[in-house]
This record gives sequence, structure tokens and C-alpha cells, in this order.
Amino acid sequence: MGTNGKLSLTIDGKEVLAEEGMTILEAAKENGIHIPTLCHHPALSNWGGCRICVVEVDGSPRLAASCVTPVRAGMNVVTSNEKIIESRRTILEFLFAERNHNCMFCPQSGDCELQNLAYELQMDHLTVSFSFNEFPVDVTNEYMVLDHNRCILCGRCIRACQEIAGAHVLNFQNRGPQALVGFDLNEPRESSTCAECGVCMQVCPTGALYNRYRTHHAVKGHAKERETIPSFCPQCGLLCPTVSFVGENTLLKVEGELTGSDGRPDRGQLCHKGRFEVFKSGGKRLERPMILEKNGDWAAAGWEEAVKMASERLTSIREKAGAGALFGLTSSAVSNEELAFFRDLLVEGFGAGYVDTLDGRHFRTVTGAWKGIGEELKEASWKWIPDSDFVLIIGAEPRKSHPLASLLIRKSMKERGTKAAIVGETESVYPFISAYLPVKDAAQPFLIQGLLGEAAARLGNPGAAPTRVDIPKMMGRIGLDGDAEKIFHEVVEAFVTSENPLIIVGEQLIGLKDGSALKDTFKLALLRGLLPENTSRVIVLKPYGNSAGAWKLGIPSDNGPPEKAQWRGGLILLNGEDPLKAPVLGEVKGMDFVAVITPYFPHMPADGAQLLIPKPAWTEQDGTFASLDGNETAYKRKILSGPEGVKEGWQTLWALSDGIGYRPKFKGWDELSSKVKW
Amino acid sequence: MPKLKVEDLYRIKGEVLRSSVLETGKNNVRITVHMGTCGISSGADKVFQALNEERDACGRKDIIVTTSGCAGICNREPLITIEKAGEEPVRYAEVDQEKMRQIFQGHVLKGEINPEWVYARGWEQKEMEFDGPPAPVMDHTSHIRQIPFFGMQEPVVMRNRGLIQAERIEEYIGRDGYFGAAKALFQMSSDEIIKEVRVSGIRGRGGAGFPTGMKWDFASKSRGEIKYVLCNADEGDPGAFMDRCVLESDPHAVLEGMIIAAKAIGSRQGYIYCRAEYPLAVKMLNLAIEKARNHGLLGKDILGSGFDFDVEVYRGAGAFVCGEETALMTSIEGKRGMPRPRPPFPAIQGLWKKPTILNNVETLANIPQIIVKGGKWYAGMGTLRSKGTKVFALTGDVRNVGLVEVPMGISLGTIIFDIGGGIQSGKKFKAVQLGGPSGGCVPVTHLNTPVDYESISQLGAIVGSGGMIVMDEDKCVVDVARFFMDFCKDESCGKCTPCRVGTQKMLEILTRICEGKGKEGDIEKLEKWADIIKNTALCGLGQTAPNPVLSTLRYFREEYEAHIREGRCPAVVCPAFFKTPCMHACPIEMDIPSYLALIKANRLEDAYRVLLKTNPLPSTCGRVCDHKCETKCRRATLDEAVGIKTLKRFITDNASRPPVERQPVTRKEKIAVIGGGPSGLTAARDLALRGYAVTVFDEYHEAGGMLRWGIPAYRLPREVLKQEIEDIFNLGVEFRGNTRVGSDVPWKEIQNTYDAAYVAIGAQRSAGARVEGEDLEGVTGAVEFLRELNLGKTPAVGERVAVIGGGNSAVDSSRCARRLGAKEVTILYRRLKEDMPAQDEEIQAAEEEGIRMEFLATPLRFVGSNGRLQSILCQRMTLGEFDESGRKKPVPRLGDEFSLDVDQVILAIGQEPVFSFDMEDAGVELTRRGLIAIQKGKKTATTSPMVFAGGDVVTGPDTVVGAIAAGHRAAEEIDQAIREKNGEAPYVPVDEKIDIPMILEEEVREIPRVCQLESDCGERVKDFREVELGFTYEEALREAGRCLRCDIEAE
Repeated sequence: MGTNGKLSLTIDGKEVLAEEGMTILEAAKENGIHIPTLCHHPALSNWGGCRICVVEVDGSPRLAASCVTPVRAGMNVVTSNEKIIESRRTILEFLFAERNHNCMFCPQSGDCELQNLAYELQMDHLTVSFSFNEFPVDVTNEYMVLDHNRCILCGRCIRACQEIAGAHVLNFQNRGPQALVGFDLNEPRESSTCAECGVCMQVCPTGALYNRYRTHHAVKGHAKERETIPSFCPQCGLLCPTVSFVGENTLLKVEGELTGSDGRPDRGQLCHKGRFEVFKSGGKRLERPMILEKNGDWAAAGWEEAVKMASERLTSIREKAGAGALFGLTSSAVSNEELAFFRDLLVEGFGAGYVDTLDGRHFRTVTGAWKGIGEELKEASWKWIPDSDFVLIIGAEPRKSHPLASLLIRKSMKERGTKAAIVGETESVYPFISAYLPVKDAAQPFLIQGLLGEAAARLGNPGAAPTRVDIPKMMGRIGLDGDAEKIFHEVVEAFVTSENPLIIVGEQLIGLKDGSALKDTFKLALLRGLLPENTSRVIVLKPYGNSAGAWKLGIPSDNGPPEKAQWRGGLILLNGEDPLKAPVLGEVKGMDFVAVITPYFPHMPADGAQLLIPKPAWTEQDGTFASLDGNETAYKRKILSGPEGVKEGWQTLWALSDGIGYRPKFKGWDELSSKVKW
Repeated sequence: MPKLKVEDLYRIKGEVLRSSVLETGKNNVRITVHMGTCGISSGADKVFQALNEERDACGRKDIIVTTSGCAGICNREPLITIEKAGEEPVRYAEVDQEKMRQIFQGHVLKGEINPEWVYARGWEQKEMEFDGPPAPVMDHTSHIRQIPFFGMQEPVVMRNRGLIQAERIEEYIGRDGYFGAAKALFQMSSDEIIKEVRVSGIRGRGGAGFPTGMKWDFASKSRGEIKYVLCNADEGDPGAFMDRCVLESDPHAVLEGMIIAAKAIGSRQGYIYCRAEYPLAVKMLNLAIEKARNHGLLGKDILGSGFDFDVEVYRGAGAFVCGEETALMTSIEGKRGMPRPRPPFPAIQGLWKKPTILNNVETLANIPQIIVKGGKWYAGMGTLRSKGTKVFALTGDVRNVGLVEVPMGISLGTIIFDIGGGIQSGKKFKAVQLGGPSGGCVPVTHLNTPVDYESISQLGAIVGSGGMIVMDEDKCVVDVARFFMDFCKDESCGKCTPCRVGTQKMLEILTRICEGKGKEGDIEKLEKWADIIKNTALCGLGQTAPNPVLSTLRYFREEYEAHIREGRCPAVVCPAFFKTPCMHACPIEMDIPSYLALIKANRLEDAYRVLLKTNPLPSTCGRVCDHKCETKCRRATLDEAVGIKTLKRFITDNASRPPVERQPVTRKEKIAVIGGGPSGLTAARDLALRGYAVTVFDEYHEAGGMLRWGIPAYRLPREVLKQEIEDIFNLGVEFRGNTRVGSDVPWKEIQNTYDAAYVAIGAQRSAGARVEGEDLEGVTGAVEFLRELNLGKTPAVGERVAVIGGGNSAVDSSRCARRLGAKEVTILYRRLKEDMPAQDEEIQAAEEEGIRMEFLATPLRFVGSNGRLQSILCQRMTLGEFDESGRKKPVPRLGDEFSLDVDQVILAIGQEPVFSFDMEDAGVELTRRGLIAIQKGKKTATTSPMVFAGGDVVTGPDTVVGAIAAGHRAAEEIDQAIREKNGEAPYVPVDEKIDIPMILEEEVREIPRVCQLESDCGERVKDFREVELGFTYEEALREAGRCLRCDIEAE
């Protein structure tokens, strides 16, 4: 035994120390000795399949795979000699000869570990003849392709699917040369239970799994010429850490932080939104300010001209028709900085009578529902999901709105036996969801009332429920048959007997104007007590990426729009949404002047706005975003440069302030940013 | 069902023993049908049904009908055993329903035994000896232990073979079953059990041979509340089936072994991983587990000892890799069965990461007896490092197929030849594949190797699980290696690259070699990859997958080379190399299917022309060829080989000979052929046809060599040979008879006159016996004797003649001596008849002519008086170890001598060349055996650029057709050398087109081979007239019609 609880061994003639339980590969790496690997991945379990990392141990003719061989005191390891190199090269040639590794046609060329290894081992020709077998290509998915012709069966994708995603969708099929990676019981991707998280693709060392939105992305240059930018995904509030790869101001790929995921329960997973949707266009880019002409056409304008026009027209509405005639509306998908500045400018600068967010109503329903029963409570974090043994999903569709949360639920179901039940209609139901009560929005209140009543009764606390519902009658009323009643009772049973239940509510429920069903849901959750730190057992899935930030900053209006709003004009800040879909606004047609600051041509009738001012897309801007539960924030870095000449959102707001003589409460971006952090 | 206590075991044993004794008047008869999967597949279930019907029909309640497992000898199934009160048990083999009914009516009901149907009497197990007298009609029937297959076995694992009904736990207990478990549970500590197992020296019978005691010791010392005992019943090696047999016929032995193992390591739960392809084994196991549970022998508080242990059967889906321990465990865990790296070893982290031991079925089945009888008893069997017995599954081309349990250390040859009865077809043994696809093959030269772990692994094979696939000379090693590689490729789990891709790539090379597309460097590639795969693969499957290739390369490299370099599959297996097997077997590739088809079409002249394309002496060959073609004839797999030789003779006897024209000399080079035998004549003809001026030198006045001076006229009439030789000379070949090169024509003259010389002088002198008295008058060599006779002289022949040797010369000499008036002719041969190199039909004819044969005898001394031979003192021989040819070596039986009064001895024990000129002068090197050495990669080119050689002077005594083949090669090489020297293009042979009928028989029925008539035995020994009479036209038509026309590619 060596010193300090370490043991000593010899690697390539050098005596080194290593911790017990380490593999030879780890010990070598720690001592700066490089051993090539292929099936090994630091975020995955050790596999020992490809045998590229073989080394000689104690002179034995039988070589050991260093990635799986534990160190032993006194071990003598040689990582490179003629025999080892010969073996590695032959194994590599075997891999190249096995399937159709034609780098020329491979969308991953230039960003491929197999290719790099061939360069490293100086494989300039093959002594093993090609097999020229034809393997299937699965192109059924819109994001990813699985091309078995480029697969080296290293099993990384399978391990990632099992160990990181916990999805257990991928596994090996068949034996010998027929072995393939397959989805479920050899289904095509689209009919399988795969949730397209793409972690398989991220760990794939070759072009077997590649992103259809960015094929051949590395052809022009190798990895070293790319910029890697660590950041966060702001799209849903789970604030998943990302690493973005950018070359020539083009986003090449987005990866999850598999090795540095900081103990997050997702282990650095991403969902299809964070990994793939970012590559999709958000709409027609707005590159210059546009003014609506009399004939209904848009005419390009200069930025100063546009800012001047907006300042003047909005001021004039307020001056002519009073504060009540002017509104401000913002998306909740923009950064805290933009939100705060927008509110200040509208309220204090322009003196607008009404400022709200696109998800204002959701905000008011949620706060209203908590009123009197738990205003002081914190919302549960999504990070609680793996600790829960029963997840009740009501009026939510996490698979669509917060995919990673849904992936975590699935992982718990598969690995821990967690049960999950869904109340409300949803498009995607995992086959292994234990209970599903598909009720329409309007019917939910009755059902939830029923759940609350039964659960309260089962828990010996009937007082907690206002009324005890006649269940068979209620079921009949909401149009569910007898089988559903059994399921209903199973859900109640699971909820009251589980050790650590969680309730997830989403847009279908919090989007209702009437908050009573939500209130009953909160009451239901409270029946099972609180989580530590005064935290409720409810996760509220909010509509926009930074809803929690907007809500915590108090941007949405507390009271909602007045009964008969007399709006003549206003300013809208968007991230590409359709503002008319927000329940607040209703109709903008016929107003005197509406200006929209947006990265894309907005989804609204042309005469709904008179002025469009461009801003960068979210990938092109820095900014702070809040987590779903509002308890954390993250500073998202800018990944790409926006179109030339397009000012950032805050710069436009700043210019508007200048235009009307309003003095912002900060001197520049850094101060603004530091002010909104909490 | 009350749970048993230890005393109940004794009670049950007593009851079973009492009830097993048949009592007259009470239970008079017991009939056992042996119904393993093997028996059932041969129809044992139908026999069982018929038996039950017969018994029910006769209404006798005193006749017990029962079943038992496999009786061990597969090729004789179905087997039944009949016991009658007070009579020795009788076994019948190859019983079918009808036979069963007759046996029942005869033997059982009337006591009438048909001795022809009886396989054996008595029990295999020594302790089951029958006390009374053998059944009277059984006098000439062997006791089962007198049959070497059974008598040489030592059943330990198989001790209950054929005796007990697996379904009845009582019968197992009656054979001391569960006494080992009782002993282990009540009287032994965990350490004591492990010690006993260590003392026994038993090593894992599953393949790797790891010491079982050591494995248990590790697991016992490994910490953990939960430990597992696993039984590996995933028997997957092609050709191994001993585990299945144990599981089906003695499942409790495995359970008992597992209980003992569980106690040894402190486990409460066991699993048996059994392949689903063994439905009967799974059924028997589950039944045995249920019975054992019901009897308190599994589950809680076994036998009241307070020890808990239970077992479950886990069915594997038939992946070969799941026999690998870590893959097996992964599979039980419910995951895809793929191996995991070790360490951690299962003894530390096995099933569900708990300490685990995994033992093979056979290992576990040994354990109860080791505990009952003690480790020392077990260690008393076998060798120093490989103790105990091992069951081998003997299959392939061996006569007795079945399970063979023998003590470790017994020789391979003993198993194959004594127990196995040798090669089924009477062909030559080539190799045996040991240990299935992970093992290797062992060739004929190593038959004396003791079968133990060390010795076998030194040969590049493994004992493995005990699969023994015997291969005869008709197996191509490349094809065999390809088969095993194909298996490994299919069964590779795909996890590690070397195994998954390496096996595939090696298979590609093996396949292309078999397909005739092998390349230079392929062998080296195979070797390199084999080495890398062995050393880098993850688990045993990959690490051993190259073994069959490596071992066949080690012993049969030249066979690989023949495929790649010579375009030949020496075993005549790989179809890519030939049109038909008979043609490929023929050294001169005669177009056999064509001339057979032409006989059928009654186009005999065309058939004759086909013969002459490749054979200048077809009529001769039609009489004296050793017809290798017939040994590879595919018809033999249906009934018998086609009589090709005689059909060839039929053509030459019945068609008019195609006219011969003098060939114009078109080339300036002159060729000398020295020696006018078949080889020289063939070369002369070929060269003449290519336009060369050829002169044949021979020391005798007539050409023909051994055909003329060696072979007696009753086999080859002089006229026949003469005509064929004349045809050759008529091409324009000059013959210079009575001319010895060296004395009559100096070598220098040949050298100066000719551009090339073909030396085909044969082996013209008999080898001496190196025995005292060889110089006595009356002792002569066979070659000399036959030559004198054929020169027209009348050699002296004694009244009592002894011929020493077993080859064709010996038989020829003996038959000639007989014809010359010898009263008594005896052939003395030191081996057995089946070892005689002479052709079978010659031996048979000699016997018919009254030639005596004395086998296992060799002369010690020729005794004479006054210089004249009077008798031979002979040594009796016995057969010892195997020699390199695969035959048992005759060794003297010291003290056992006998004297044979003779007045003449003909020595026919070998021939050697006589050189009439100095080979050294000619620049020709000789081999150590005194034959002419040929350059590597050539067939006839010697060390001298102008001298070529072939026939017996190169090969030693060989066949006529071999000599003709050498003649062809010589002509080719001589012509090639001359053209190369001149810078000419290679010769393009002119091929005469002969239309061959392409007609296939619609239906192939079994038809016996037509035998040609032979002249009367009593008459023919009076002179030298031809013995064989050839076919009539009808016979020839019928025989030619038996040809399967392998040359026609089926659509």
C-alpha cells in the first residue's frame, strides 16, 4: 500500500499513486498518461466493450481493458508498445471494416471520435477488408437519425438512455454481426417510447446518431475552431445548463452538461426543446424597424426614427386620453432585466394605466387560489420529482411544456417504481402511467372536488374538504364510465398512501379564470402536509420560460384588465409569441398606436400595430432568468450575434426613455442586471 | 407430505431396495424403457406405448412397466431392459414398436429370447451384479461390461444411468441420494465441506477447469448476508449433451450438489440456468424441485437441520454466450445476457452484485458422492492434476456414439478406438475436436495423449465441457474451422469488437479459402487476428473463438496451403474446387461422370476418348487402379460407391480403341525419359503431343515398369498393357530398351544430347528384413520374385511359402506362389487385417485362393541348415500405443514365439530405388530416405535444372495412378521450363469437345452395387489367366446408371 490511503503502481515505468477502486484509465489520466478510448464516456458506467484502451498488465500476453480494470498495488502497466498499438489498430480496423464508415458522406465528419482515433493511430489504409453490409437507417424522427451503418455498437447511447435519461428505450438487439441498437423491442423510433431527449446522440462517438438540423456541421473545420459557450436553456424554467457549440456565428450543436451537472437530478440531460427546437426558426426575422403606411404596407425605417415615433405617439396618447388609454404588455419569456426595465418605463416613464404579461391571467389564478390557504408557501421545485413516489398530474402536459420534468417522472417510474396519474386530457400518455382520467377542462373542478373530498375522508380529515361529492354521480356528470370510477379510487388510494406525493398542475388548470378548482388542488396537496422549508407539494408548470421571474418581479397586473378598457395604444415586448392569444388583450385593431418590440414579425394582423422595432432572439441576448419555482436564477449568456444594426431590447427601451426624458434607475447593462438578481 | 428427517432417508432406501427385488408370483417382470430426449427422438415413446398396450392386453398385473433416462449409447436407441424374477436382466437395442411387441410376446410371456436381438445382459453398475446363473440362452451374449463401450467406463456422475426413474425421488434416495446432503448438513461445517471438495481435487467440468474447492472457498470467505449458488445448465457446445442427460435422468443429484454447495458458502437461494431448448430437462428439474420441496429437502429447515435453501429454474433463451458466467448472471438479472468484465469476480460480486458461485451440472452431480465417499476416494481416480472422472460426449464419425465417463488420464485413442469402436465407415481417423467451438482439434499423431486438462491444452485444444467430435478423413479442416467460426460469429453477443468483428472477419477469410478464393497471406492474417482476438476479447467466448483455426493451422497447415496455392481440397469437401468429388479424388482428375454418362448413352467410343484425355493407360487402370475416386463417391452416403474402376475397364474392353496418329515433331528440344514405367510413359506421351522428340530409356526389353514386371498377369493381362504402350510409341516416341543409363549410355551423353531428362526409375529393389538368416537360400524379395516370374522365367517356389508384409506386393507374391504350385502359402503380417495396406478386394481374393494369413506376427529369425531355409522363428505381436498413422503399434509379446516350417520366404516389406548412374554427378540431391528430392513449390523439378523426376523414385512405392499423375506434371513442368527459358508463351492444351448427355434420374432409389464376375477359385489358381472378368453390357448399364451425376448443377 502506498501513502495517504493511496496505492502505488507503475505505469509506463513511472511509479504513480492512485486511489483504490480507480481504473487503470483513471489513474493514467490523473498522471497525464493518455490512453485512447471509444466506448468509454466519463458520464457513463464503465463498459469495456470496444477494447481500444487495452494495456499490458504485469507482462501478461492477455491485454486488459484499462477502462474497466481496477488498479492494484504493485501493478505494472504498460500503455503503449508495439503489440498494444498493433492490437488497437487492428481493433480499429475491425470497426472501420465492419460497417460503412465513409467519412466523406458522414454528417458528423470532423466531429467524430472514431475519425479522430483513426488519425491518432495513423490508420492510413485498411488491412481488413470491408464487409459492405447494408444496415437500416431510421429517419422516422424529425430531430435525429439513427444510421446503423455508422454504428460501432459501443453502447454509449444505450447506457445514456438507461443511466442518464432513465428511459431504458434503447438496447442491443440480435447477436453477433447482426447486433443493432434498437428502440424498445426493435420498433422504429417514432412508434417507440423514446422521448427524443437526444442524450444518446450527444454521447454517440460517431455519426450513427446525428442532428438532422445540423448535418455536416463540422465539415469546414474541426472542433478546435469552434467556440464552446456554457449557458442555460431559458425555454421552460428548468434552467438546464447547456454547452453551445458555435462556428461562424452559427449554432452547431447544443449539449447537456453531462459531467458537470452539479448534482441536478437530470444528470445534465436536455429535452428536445433545448437540444433541437433551438435550431428551428422562430418566424420571419425582423431586421429593421417597420412603419405601417396608410396603404397597409410596411415600410422600413431607421431606428432613431422609429424610437422617436414611438416616444411621441405613446406620449401623445397618454397626454390626450389619459393613463387609462395606454397599456404595456410583455412576454414572460424575456429576461428579468427586460421585464423590470419595461415595467419601469411604462409605469413611470409613459405613465401607462395598465401593464401586464401575456400570462397575467395564470398569475392571478394561481395567486388567487393560494389566497387564504398558503400565500406564504413556496412552490415545490421540479427537483423533488425523483424523491416522490406518487406524482399526480392535473391539467398539465409536462411532456409538451416542461419535457424534462416529464422525463424525470418517467425515470422515477421505471427505476423507482414511482406511480404517476394524469387528470385532464393530454396528448402523450406513457404506456406505463398507472392511472389516466381524461377529463375536459370544464369538468375538472368536479373531479378535483371529488378527489379532495375522498382524500380528506380517507385521511380522517373531512373538514378539509368543503363538500363530499357523490362520486358515481359526479363521474356520470363528467362523462366517465364505471371503469374510470375504479381508476379514480386508485388515484385517491395512491395519493393518500404514498410516502411523498407531488402534484403537478399546468396550463389547463391555471389557465382557467375561475381558480376554485386550483384552490381545491392546493387544498388536496396540503392534506399531505408540506415539504421542508415551508414548501407546498405543488409544482406549477407556468406557460413561459421566465414566467416565474415575471411573477416574482410583480410584472403581471394584480387585478387584471378593467372591465371596459379604454386603451388607445400601447407598447408590446415579445419573444416571438402571438400577443392576441393572451387573454388580456383581446383586440388591438383600431387603436391609435401600438408599437411592438420583437425579434420576428409578430403573429397579429398588420393593422394591429403601427410600428415594429426589432430586437435580438433569445440566443442573441444576455439576461437573467428565474427557475420554475422562482427560487433560483441563472444568467444566460448570449450564444450568437444578432442581425447587424438590431439593438438589444433594453437598448430600445433606453432610447425610448431618452425620447421621453425618463431617467432609468441604472446607468448601464451591468447595473440593470445586478439589480434584478435575487 | 410430511417433511423428511434423516432417519426417513434410511427407511425409504430400505423400502426401495426391497421393492426393487423382483419376487416370483408377486412382481415377476420389470421392463424399463430408456427415455431420454435421445431415446424419445429415436422412438422410445412409441415403444413405451406399444409395451403398455401389450401389457394391458395380456392383463398381467405382475408386469411392471417403467421408464428411465438415457442408457448411454445413442446410436443403438431405443433401448429397453427386461428383468425377470430370478433371471439376469437382458437389454435390447434398436427396438421399434413391432420388435417390442414380439419381445413382449416371446421373452416376457413365453420366456423365448431371440438372441439376435439381444444387446447385452446384466447391469453396467458393478454393485448391481446379478448373483444367479446367466439366462441359458444368453451363453453367447456378452455381459454389458464385456462390451468395451460400457466395460471401460467408470460411471460416477452417470452411476444411476438406466437404473432410476427420474420422476421418483424415492428411487434416487434408494441409490444413496441425499445422504451426502444429510452428511453435509448435520455432520460437517462449511470449512469441512470445502476441505473435502479441495481434497477431491475436482475441477470445474464446464470447461475452464477451475478448482471447485477454491471457488467455494473464495465465496465462503466473501462477506455478505445474501449469497447465491448457481448451476450452469446452459449446455451449448455443438456436440456436448452430458448435462442434458444428467438433468433428465438424475436431476436430484444436481439439487443435492447445490444444497451442499449452499451450506459450504452460506447461501439460501440457488438458480439453475437451463436452456429452454431442453424442455425435458426443465420439466424433470421442476418436478424434482417440487418433490424435494414436498419432502423437506429444499426450502426451509432442510431435513430438520435448520438450514434453508431453495432452488429455482431459470430458462435461458439459447444464447451460447450465456454459458459464460457473468453473462449468465446478467441474464438471470433480467438483462440482455452479455458478459461483464472481471474483476470483480463472482465470488465477490456475482448475481445482483452478491457473492455467487457458479458450477456446471456435471461438477455439482459429482459433489454428493465426494461428500459421501470422501475427497480421497475421488482423488484416487484420474491423474496427478486432473482428478476423478469426466464425461465425454463422443460423436461424429465414430462407431459408438454416446456418453462416455472415464477416469481422467485415459488416452484419447482408447476413448475413440476402444470405447468408441473407431471410425464408423472404416475410413481413416483424421482428428478429434475437443471442447467444441472453444476447443481445438487433435490429429492422429496424438492419440496416445492422456485426456487431462494439462496435456490437452498443450496440444492447443481444451477438455472443455467434454465434447468430442471425431472426424474421419473425409472432413476438411478448413471447412471444420469455418463451421466453428461461423458458430462463434453468430453467437458473439456483440459487446466487444475483437469477438464481434474479428470472428466475422476470420470467417470471411476461411469462407473464401473454402470457396477457392484464398490469397497468399490469408493464413498469416488468420494467425495475427487469432492472436489479437485471443488476447483482447472480453470474455471466454471471444478469447477461445480462434482456437479451432489455430489448432487446425497447427496440425493441418498444408491443407490450408493446398486450398490456397494448389486449388485443391485434399479431403474433397469444399465444392468450389471440383466438379465432382470422384474427379477431385482422382490424382489425374479423370472426367468420371462424363464417361459414365457416355456408357449409359451407349457411346463407348466417345467414352474411350474421354478416358484418353487424362489417362494414357485406361485399360490398365481399369484393372489395377486403387480407385480413390470410389472412396469419395457421394453414392456411398446412400448405398454403395459406384464401381468406377470396373466401368472404366468395361469401356476399354468393349469399345474399339481410337486410332493413334504419329505426332509431328514441332520443337527443337529433345527430351530423355529414363524409365519406361507408367510415369515415364505418361510424360513421354504428353511431351510427344506437345511436339517434342522423346526417347524412353529402359533397362528391360519391354516398357511398362512395375506394370509389366511387378503386377501379375492374372490381374493385368500382358496384351492389355502392351497395346496401351504401343499406342504411346505410335505417337512417335522412341523406345530404347535394354539400355541402362549409366552403364549402357553414359549420363554425360544424355546431358549433352537432351534438353531435359525425366527420371522415373521407380523403386526396383525389395527392402531387407534386417533379420538373421536373410542370406539363406530360399529367402527372396517380392520385387525380384515377381520380376523373375514376369520375365518369363520360372522362379523357384517352395512347397511351404511365407510372405512377409501386408501390401499389394505381399498379396501378389502369395497368389503367384500359389499359382506356381506352392502347397501352403502364409502371409505374415505384424498388424491386423484391417491395417493391411493392400487393396481389400485383393486380400479377399487371396483368402479365397487359400492363402493363410497370420496376423500380429513378425519374423525373428530365418532358420536354415546348410545355407538352406527351413523355418522361421516368429514373434507374436500385440498392439500397443498408437503410432503416427493412427494405427496401434505392434509390439513384441515377449516370450510368445512360434516356429513356422517353410522352404521359401518372400520379403514384401518395402521397396527402394536402384540408381544406375550417379545422382550426385547429375546434380540431383537425394532425401534422407534415399529418394530424389524435389524443389519446394514444384512437383517434379529436382535440384538440377535439366533433371525432373517423379513416380516411386520420388514418393517411394505408390500407386499406378500416382505415377501417371507425376508423369503429367513432369511433362508440364519440363515444357514450362523450356518455354520460360525461350521466353515463349505458355502451352495451351487443345481440348477435344465431346458432347456429354445431361440426363438426371428423376428418382434415386437404393440399388446395390453390381459385382463383376470372377473366375472360379479352384480353377484360377492353376494358371495366370485374368481373375476379374469385368461387366456385361447390362451390368455396366445398370452400374453406370447409379452415378448421381454430381457434375450437373441442380437448378
